[in-house]
Amino acid sequence: MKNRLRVLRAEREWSQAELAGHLEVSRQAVNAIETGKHDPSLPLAFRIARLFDMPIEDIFDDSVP
Amino acid sequence: MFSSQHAPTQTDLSRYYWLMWLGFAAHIAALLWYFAHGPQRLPPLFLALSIGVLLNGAMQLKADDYYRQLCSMGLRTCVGSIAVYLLCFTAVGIYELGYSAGSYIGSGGNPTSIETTIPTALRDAYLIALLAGFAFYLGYFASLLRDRMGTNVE
Repeated sequence: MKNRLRVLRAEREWSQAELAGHLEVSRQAVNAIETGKHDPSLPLAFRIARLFDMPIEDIFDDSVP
Repeated sequence: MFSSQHAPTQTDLSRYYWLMWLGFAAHIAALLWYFAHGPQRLPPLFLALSIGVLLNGAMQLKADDYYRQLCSMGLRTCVGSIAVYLLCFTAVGIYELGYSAGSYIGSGGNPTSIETTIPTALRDAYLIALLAGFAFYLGYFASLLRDRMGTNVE
């Protein structure tokens, strides 16, 4: 699933490790989500949305597989 | 930001990933040792490392989403290889049963004893367990390496 995580992270000038720290996941997980290799679980998707203060659908795009 | 009292730290979560490499290396060492010396002399250190990592992969305590996804692939590969092994075993069993029945009828009802064609090593539960564990690691790392291709770490 495509997402805007890399862009949102870059806007805040966070490294993958810093974002991972905010979300309480590993850096590897952030990397896999950013590259679209891994779709986050619903709880993690909500955590991401809360962290960036945006609706989930503005971060993740499920129209493109 | 979302921290709870018992939440794993970033270091804890990253540790799972490199521990998997350590477990994989220990498992390969245990397999090589098995083929060289047999099951009696397997070094406890290799086994303890590999078993610990496999148990962690099965239970996934305090692991993150992505680690669970990789372990899920490992578990699927493990279960799939066990199914293939059982299928092959069953096919050989059916062949031997048919051959045995044919020999009995062909010999005019005289009972004949037939040796199984399955090699002894493939009936060794210890080796099967080691190979099933190896299949778990293969599934995990195949999935990890596939994901890592063309990705940038920052």
